[in-house]
Amino acid sequence: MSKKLVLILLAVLLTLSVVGCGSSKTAEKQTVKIGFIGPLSGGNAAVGIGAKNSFQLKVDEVLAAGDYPYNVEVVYEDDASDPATGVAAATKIASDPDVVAAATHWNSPVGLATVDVFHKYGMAQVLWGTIHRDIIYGNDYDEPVRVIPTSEQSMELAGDYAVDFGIMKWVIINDTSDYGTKIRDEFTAAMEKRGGEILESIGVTIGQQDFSAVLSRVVELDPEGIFYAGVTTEAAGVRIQSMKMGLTDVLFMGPPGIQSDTFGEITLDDAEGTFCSGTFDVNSTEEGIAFVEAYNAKYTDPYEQNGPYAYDSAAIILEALKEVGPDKAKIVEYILSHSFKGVIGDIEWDEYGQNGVGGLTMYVNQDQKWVKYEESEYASGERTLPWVK
Amino acid sequence: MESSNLGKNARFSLKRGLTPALLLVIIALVYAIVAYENWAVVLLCLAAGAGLFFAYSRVPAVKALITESMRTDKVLLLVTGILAALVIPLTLRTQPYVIHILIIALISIILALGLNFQVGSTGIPNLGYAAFYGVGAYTSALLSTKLGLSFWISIIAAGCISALFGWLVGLPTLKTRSYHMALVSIAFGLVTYIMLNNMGFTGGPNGIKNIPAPEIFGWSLFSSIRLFGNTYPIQVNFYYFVLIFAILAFVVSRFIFNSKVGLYFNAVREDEIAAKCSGVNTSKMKLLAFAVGAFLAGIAGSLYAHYIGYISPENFNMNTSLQILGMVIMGGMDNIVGVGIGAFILSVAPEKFRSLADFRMLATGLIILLMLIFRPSGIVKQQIRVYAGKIFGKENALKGDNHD
Amino acid sequence: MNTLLQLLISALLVSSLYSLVAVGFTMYVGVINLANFSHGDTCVLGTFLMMPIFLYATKAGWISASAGLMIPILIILILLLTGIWGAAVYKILVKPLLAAPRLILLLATVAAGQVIREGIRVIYPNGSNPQVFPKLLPSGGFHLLDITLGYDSLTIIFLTIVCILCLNFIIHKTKMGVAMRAVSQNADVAQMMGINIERTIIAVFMIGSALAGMAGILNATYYGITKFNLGSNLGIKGFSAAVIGGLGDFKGAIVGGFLLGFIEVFAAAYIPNGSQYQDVFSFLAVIAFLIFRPSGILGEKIFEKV
Repeated sequence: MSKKLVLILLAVLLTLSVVGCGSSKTAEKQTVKIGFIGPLSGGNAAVGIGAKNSFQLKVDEVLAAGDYPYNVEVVYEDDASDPATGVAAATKIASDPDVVAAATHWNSPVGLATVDVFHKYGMAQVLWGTIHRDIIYGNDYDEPVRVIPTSEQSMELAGDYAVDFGIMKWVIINDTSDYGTKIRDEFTAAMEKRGGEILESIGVTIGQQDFSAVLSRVVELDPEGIFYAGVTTEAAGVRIQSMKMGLTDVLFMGPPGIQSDTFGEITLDDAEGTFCSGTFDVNSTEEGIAFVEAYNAKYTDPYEQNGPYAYDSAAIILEALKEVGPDKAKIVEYILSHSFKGVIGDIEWDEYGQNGVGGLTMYVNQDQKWVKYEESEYASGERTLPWVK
Repeated sequence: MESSNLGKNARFSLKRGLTPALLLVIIALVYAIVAYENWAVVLLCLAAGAGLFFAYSRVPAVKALITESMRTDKVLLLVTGILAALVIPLTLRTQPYVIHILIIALISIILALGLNFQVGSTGIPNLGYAAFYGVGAYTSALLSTKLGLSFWISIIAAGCISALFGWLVGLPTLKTRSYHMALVSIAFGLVTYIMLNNMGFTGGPNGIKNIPAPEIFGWSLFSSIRLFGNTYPIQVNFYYFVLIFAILAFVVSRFIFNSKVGLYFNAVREDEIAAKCSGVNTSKMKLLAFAVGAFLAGIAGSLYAHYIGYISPENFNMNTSLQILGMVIMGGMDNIVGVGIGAFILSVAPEKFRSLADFRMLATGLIILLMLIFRPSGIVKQQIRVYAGKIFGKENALKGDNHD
Repeated sequence: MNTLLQLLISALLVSSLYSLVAVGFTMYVGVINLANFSHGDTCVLGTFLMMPIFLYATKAGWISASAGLMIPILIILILLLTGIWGAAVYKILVKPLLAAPRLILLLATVAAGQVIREGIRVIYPNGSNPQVFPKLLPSGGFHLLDITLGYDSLTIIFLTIVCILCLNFIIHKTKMGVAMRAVSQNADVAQMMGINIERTIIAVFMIGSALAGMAGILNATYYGITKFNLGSNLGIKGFSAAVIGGLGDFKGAIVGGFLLGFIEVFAAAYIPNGSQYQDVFSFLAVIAFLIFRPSGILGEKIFEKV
């Protein structure tokens, strides 16, 4: 009998202690928190981790300067490139009363899913990745701003260069992800606007390794240019196999998705003379070079394509926080109404919150590294472009 | 004699409150684990929970006590549970993230209950369940965004079309042996995913956005409610909304389990040939299991679509199927309560592991592995059907008479 | 005509790779009735074990010194390592669950696959990115009938045949092979005849994992790339091929691998928009086989004892 009494007393005590524990929730008021969401696990983790490190780099630099009025803590959350996980992460960060602003996402579906969440909580969402125009233009929200150019913008650049090079007959090989299909559609629009012709668009899947069937078809079509709409891993495979199949004198171009140095590391000699309509060239400005040095001094994982944008997102958030204090609504207003200067150059929003300039660059691959075309030996004539006989 | 009678009555009155009280303790522990970020608290509560669990499974006296008390206090237990479920979100006013996790857990419970019909009750290994989930979600989303139909029509349509899809998937697979069924289901799941991803009208890989929230007589679930002067986050609305569906799913599952259909399901699972010989229409039962399971998945899909407001094929891939399967297997197959617990744990755990960021997926995989190695029968073991003593009692009594 | 022949060669190559994966997968099914969904990830594990060892060997100068002999030695080393990994997986994961319903074991292998995948990504430096895999195959080729036959493709096809012949030898001519065949037919009787079931199962895991490692290495060295998440795709292709050909029968796995490879390559080439749906074709074939001819092409005998 007494044994059971003891059991019940224990249970009651336990419940009380747990409830009691609850009252001492850790809540610090002098520290301000900012959020970062990106793919930290899964297939796109490389980009997410690079961006995360770049973000932290800026935060550390600003705090190290000593005169920042707040103690800033970054809350990192993983969206695993999955919309459901992304919404959970966004809800967590946006509903946290201690977090004042957040920098988010690489995958467009995740961004599309969470833009409503951040709007609901009135929290500024600085997008350092994602390319889908609807995240900014599909709504009337003040909260989301995007530092990185849209796919539309980078494909317009690609179209311009294609016309300059006189390469008008293209075949597009795209992966079936949201990124690949968007890029395919944007490039098609850009080329057709300029009088170019897309002979065919052929889809491949992420994780596919053998492209022989696809490339046989391409050989039949005999295009002047091959555009790979997708990301590094498959692009490298396509390039290597296309070279084996004899497609050596075409203009091989890709979107920012292949801007990683890994592309050259994998394709080795086959990377020579490939093009990338990409994002900001860190080596073109002093600030950029400083960023690269600072980053490489601290981290071993590469910063990948979005590093500079994440770095600048941190700068934007920290500046807004410094100016108006930890007030979510004021930060949203501040960000939208100001222009900034970042590593990528001037950041100016259009009326919807999209950065207009964004440092778009056309790269050519030289000795397995991406080099700005205008500064390359191809432009100066020391090396011949692949299609020039 | 006197003292033992006294003792019995005294024990009886103590037992009366035991399981509901225990349930409250467990709920408090779970609440602490889910809602608090402080790892010390979380670990302490986990340890307490583990301790309770061990006491239950290893100490026979405790087990007997609890089992008996569960039987006598069923109503009180249910009332306590439902009251707790209703009250909890009101305490989470400032933590919509936690309510969000609970909503996702509730949707997962509905999904797990559906899959349980197929895998647990009928023994059909279905590894492509996310296909039904996806079909339901897309049906509901497309009907409400492209055709402007109301949520209520969409959700019913989602359930029905999903059920139809389930029935269609079940048809050709009637003759396949259990082993091959697993493989066919994988293939079906993958084909559905690829089709959803590549077809134009489903929005392709970019999915469908701006799915409207459900409306009850014109009142949208996206509007915050004010109670006692406090504004409550909209998650609370959805929580209660989905809770109702989850409770309905529970009730329906229990009803089916206790009915002849449930019995037939189990018969098909245990020995299909014997069942056939005993006159059970095994084909009809299998198709029914597919349809019912798919129906629940369709409902869950619709709820998910209208809550999050955005769906894409990524929500319904192989990983999702495997996650739901994990919930059913870990929770305890063919056990409705067990499956619910499994669903709760497996939807909350990955969220809890967020602080591990990079290592989150690795940790989740390890947890599943560990749970499978150490308790393969599931958290709640499969219950053996117990029939009311009355029928047998009568027979025994008759036998007894004969002996006399 | 050119294209057709070229496609044929590609199909042969893809089929060889798929067959090798399928053969390993079907071994588990045949002997212990287990669908091992970590098989694909074990293939990738083999490649990630190979890379650091190969790098070290190159740095230490062993490779150039031994005029290429080192490479087969290294490969054998990796196969041993993967084999040991297989035995470890058995001991830790499979043994405790052998008595449980097969569905649980299947789920456990799925979880194990995820652990391998994410583990590689987290542990290997810059693991989230694709890695360049050393080119171990001879380069160049020769022309025949207006198409290029690369030495690398021929080597892969050759090595696959060698592996399969080795496996055939093991299964039919060695004691362990007899034990495996006995266990696959009737485990209880086999035990009664004095066969050590546990040792046989360990052997299955070791050989299966080594095969996975081999398949992974051949795959990676042909395409020049490996990445932590390539295993899931490979695994599914392997299982599809095994199913089409007839589970449990390794000749079936080979046939299935070839059928799958050919369906994929030719569907992608000749059906408009086929490329993005090429997986759908393969899976529809799997479904069709499982429904209409569940015993696969070569047919396993399925008797239903009443």
